[in-house]
Amino acid sequence: MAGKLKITSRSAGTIRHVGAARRTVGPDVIAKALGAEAIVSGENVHGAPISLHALRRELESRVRSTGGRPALDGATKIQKIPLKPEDWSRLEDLATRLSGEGVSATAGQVASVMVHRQLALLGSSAARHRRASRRLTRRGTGSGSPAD
Amino acid sequence: MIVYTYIKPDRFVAHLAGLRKFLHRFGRETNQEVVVVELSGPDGSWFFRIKEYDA
Repeated sequence: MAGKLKITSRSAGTIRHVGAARRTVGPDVIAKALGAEAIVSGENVHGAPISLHALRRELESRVRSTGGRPALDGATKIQKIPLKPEDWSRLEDLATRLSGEGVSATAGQVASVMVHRQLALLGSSAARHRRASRRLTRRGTGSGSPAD
Repeated sequence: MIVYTYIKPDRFVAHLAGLRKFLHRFGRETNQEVVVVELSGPDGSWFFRIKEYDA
């Protein structure tokens, strides 16, 4: 049986970052500087004009002309998804409105982009929640570094 | 009206006072009910709502 390995070389030492530190400015500081009344996380804003702007932006960049009906780039999985009739009507209204603004998209493509964005937001929200939980856990056990 | 732009964080912070002046003037002189600023980055996005404008 092999014996226990012993590391005899010197340790490499601590790595120090000597570059310029980037200043972090929080949203509360920016809100105060701008004289803004409220800060709302983008995840909690529904139906705000900027959301429609984001939807338009993504459709503009992802709807590609393929010679036939313009396709939504990357959306290769065709699924039947149960929807309320009124939701489908709203998606059709949105598609009509966007088409009137020069962004040609079907109701299904609008729905696809909305689902994609919400899933991405959900993912980033979950990641932030995990990071915050880890920080709290480290502080609770006293093993966190001052930089946390 | 929507203005969409990329920013350099340091320059953005350095010009916050000027941006405030512009946003409040825009809201006041064009009689907007609300002016909204959205900031998006890798850590998320925030909305800043301005409803009362500086004189």
